[in-house]
Amino acid sequence: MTDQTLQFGDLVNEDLVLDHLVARDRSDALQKTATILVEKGYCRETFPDAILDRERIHPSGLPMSGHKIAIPHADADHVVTSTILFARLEEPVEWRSMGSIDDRLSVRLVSMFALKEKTLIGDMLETLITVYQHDEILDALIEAEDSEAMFTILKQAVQDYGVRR
Amino acid sequence: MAVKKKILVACGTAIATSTVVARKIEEELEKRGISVELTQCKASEVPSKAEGHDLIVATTFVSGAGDIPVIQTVSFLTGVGIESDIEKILSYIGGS
Repeated sequence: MTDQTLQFGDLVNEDLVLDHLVARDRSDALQKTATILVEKGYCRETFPDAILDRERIHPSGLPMSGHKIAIPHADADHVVTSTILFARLEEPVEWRSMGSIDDRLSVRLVSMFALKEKTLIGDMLETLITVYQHDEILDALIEAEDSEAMFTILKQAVQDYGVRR
Repeated sequence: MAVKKKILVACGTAIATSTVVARKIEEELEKRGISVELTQCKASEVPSKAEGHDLIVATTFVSGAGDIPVIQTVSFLTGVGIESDIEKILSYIGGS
C-alpha cells in the first residue's frame, strides 16, 4: 500500500499550479503548459510535440459531471522527472472529448501528467480522477483566489478522496 | 470452475487511462462476485491483441477488433454512467 497523499506532495509543486493561463485554443494551452515543464527541466524538448500529437489522435477532454476537464499526457520517454502541472485557463477553450471524438467540451481545468513510472501513472491518474468526480472540488478550483488556494484545495482533496492501495 | 472471461482494455498509451478503467471494472465485477482476466493495450494494438478476448473496453476510438464486441466509454473515468456500462459488460460476458 502506498500513501497517495505523500506521493502527491512529493510530485506536485505550487509553482506548477497556474491560476490564470491565457490560451487562445487547446493547442495553445497544451504548447504553453508543456513548454513550462521543459523549461523547468521536468520534461525533454520532445515533450510538447508528443503531447500535441497524442492529443490529435487520442483527445484528453473528459465530460465530468461538474466542470469539464482535460488530462493530457504523453509517453514516459519524454519525461525526465515525474510531476503534474495544473492550469486554470483564463477563458474556457474548446476541447475534444476522449470518449467521443465529435463531442466538444468547454474546458478551463487542465491537469498535465508528466509521469515516468508506470505504477505512478495509474495511481496518480486514478487518485485525481476520483477527486475530480466530486463536483464541489472542481467548483472550488474554478473559484479559488489564486495558485496557492488551488494547491491547498488539491492537496486536501487528495487526502480526503485519494485512492489508497 | 468456469473459465474466466477475458477483457481487453485499450487506451492511447496502454498505461494511463486503461489502468484506471481496468481497476474500476475489476472492482465493480468483484462486488458482483465475478472474476475476469483483464489485459491492457494501446488502441493501435487492438488488431493484433484482440484475438482470444470476449470483450474490448476502450476509452478511445479503436478499430480492427473483428467479431469481438467493443464498448467505447469514459464512464469509469467520469463516474457518469458506470452502472449501465457494467450492465453492458455483463451482457457480453454472461455474468458468470
